[in-house]
Amino acid sequence: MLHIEFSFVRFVRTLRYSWQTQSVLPYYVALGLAPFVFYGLAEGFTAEGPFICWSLLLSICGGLYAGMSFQEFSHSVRGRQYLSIPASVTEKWLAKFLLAFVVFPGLITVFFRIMLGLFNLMAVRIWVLRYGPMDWSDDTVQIFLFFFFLLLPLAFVSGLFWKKYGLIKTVITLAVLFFVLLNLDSLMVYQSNNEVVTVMNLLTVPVLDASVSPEYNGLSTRFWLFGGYIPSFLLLVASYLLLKNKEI
Amino acid sequence: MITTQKITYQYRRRTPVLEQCSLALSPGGVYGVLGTNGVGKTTLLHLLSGFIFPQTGNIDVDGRDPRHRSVSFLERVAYVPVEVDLPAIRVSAYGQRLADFYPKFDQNLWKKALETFQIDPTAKIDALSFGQKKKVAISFALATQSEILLLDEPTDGLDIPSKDSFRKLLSTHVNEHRIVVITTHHVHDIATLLDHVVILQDTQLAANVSVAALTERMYTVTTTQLPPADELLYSERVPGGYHCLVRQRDGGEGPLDLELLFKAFLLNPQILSF
Repeated sequence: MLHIEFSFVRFVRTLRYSWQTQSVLPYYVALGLAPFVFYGLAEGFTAEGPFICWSLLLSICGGLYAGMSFQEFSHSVRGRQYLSIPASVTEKWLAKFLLAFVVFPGLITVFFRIMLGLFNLMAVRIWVLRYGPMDWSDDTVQIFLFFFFLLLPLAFVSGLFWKKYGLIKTVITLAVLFFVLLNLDSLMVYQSNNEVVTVMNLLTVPVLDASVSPEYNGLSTRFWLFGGYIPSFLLLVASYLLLKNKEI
Repeated sequence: MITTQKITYQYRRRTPVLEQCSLALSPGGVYGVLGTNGVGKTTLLHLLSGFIFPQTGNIDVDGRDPRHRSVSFLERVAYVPVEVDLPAIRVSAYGQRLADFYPKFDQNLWKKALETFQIDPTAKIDALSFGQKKKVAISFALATQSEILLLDEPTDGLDIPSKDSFRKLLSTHVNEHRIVVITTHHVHDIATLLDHVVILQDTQLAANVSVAALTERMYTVTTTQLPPADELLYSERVPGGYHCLVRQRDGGEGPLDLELLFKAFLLNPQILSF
């Protein structure tokens, strides 16, 4: 039977301890990446540049942070020390989850806004480049966030599942899987309908474009439900259960 | 009270480390777990700490199953591993941040232990040597006032004065409510503290005897001549004579070298069949 032990005071203590002992590598990566992404993308994408910079920073550093937070439990020495702190598994999981799901993405966004302002100030004198203002209400921002948060539980599970380099192994596995699926997908549709439109296109387009024929909407909703939301939720639950039964 | 009932543990794709192992450890005892490399000493501590779960059998630690890692279980168990990897913060900050988790944490004892080990509380942990980090971990474990203290090779990395400090600190920690379990290859370092000897051999618990029962039956002596064969349990040559484990005849108690006893046991396990 699933027994859940939770105390708010202890949770706050665990959150504080997790915050104080968090890995600093994703912060260094963010700092290191910032000048490159801002400068590298500035010339070609002045209008979309800020969005690309922000989404790149958030995906790389956010994924790394989430993976590393949960990878800690697979580390033979550090993991044991963290697990032996008198707080319940629920409190420990929730503390890591909050930091990786809310706090770190928030901090990266704040960091991005500060950097954007700073680079714009510098750009006038040094590079004679200016980024356009970032449109936070744009659809692409919402779509990116949707995918980012949908994939984050995968980083949690990868950290817990693999003993070392969980995130890298998961990214490689996903890339291979995606490549195979994409090829299978195009092959299947081409053979059955004799059209150069893939199943993936039919299913994903309604999410990106509201004007698409309504007949695909139902299909698309089901696709996202069974291919996106449910797996993502199951991965989130799996990360909790994996932690609860983690042997190190 | 700690009891294990017929526990078996096997690492993936390997032969079992512990098989059908049953053990009972009572409060007030300082148990020294002895065994050759890879026999399962650390595995036993990990099972008692709830880091790994037995494939068969049950473990009961003061009425709690370590597998659940409940808060009340974690509050009463302090574990010091062979290798310590503490956060890169100041020693004093480490104590402050974790103390709140332990209801019985004794700040005075924490400070006293650090002082005894000559650890500067303002020092950054990542700048400390392996032995110093170990001292921080031991000091913290003692300050938690946990009922169950599990120490894996605690004297590893400690210098000679620190080993003495460790013995003094640990002896003040022991009382009738607490259980201390120590695994070690350096029996001499902790011999004076132990009141029970647990020996693991070939995936089994081979012996769990009190030091009092042992000293009633045997003692060690260094002589130039070997004792009579019916009294001699084990001997080894040392400069100037023999270091011997001898059967106690007159009912008195003599010094007992646990390392010699362990060597004798490996050669003839029957010596502990009483």
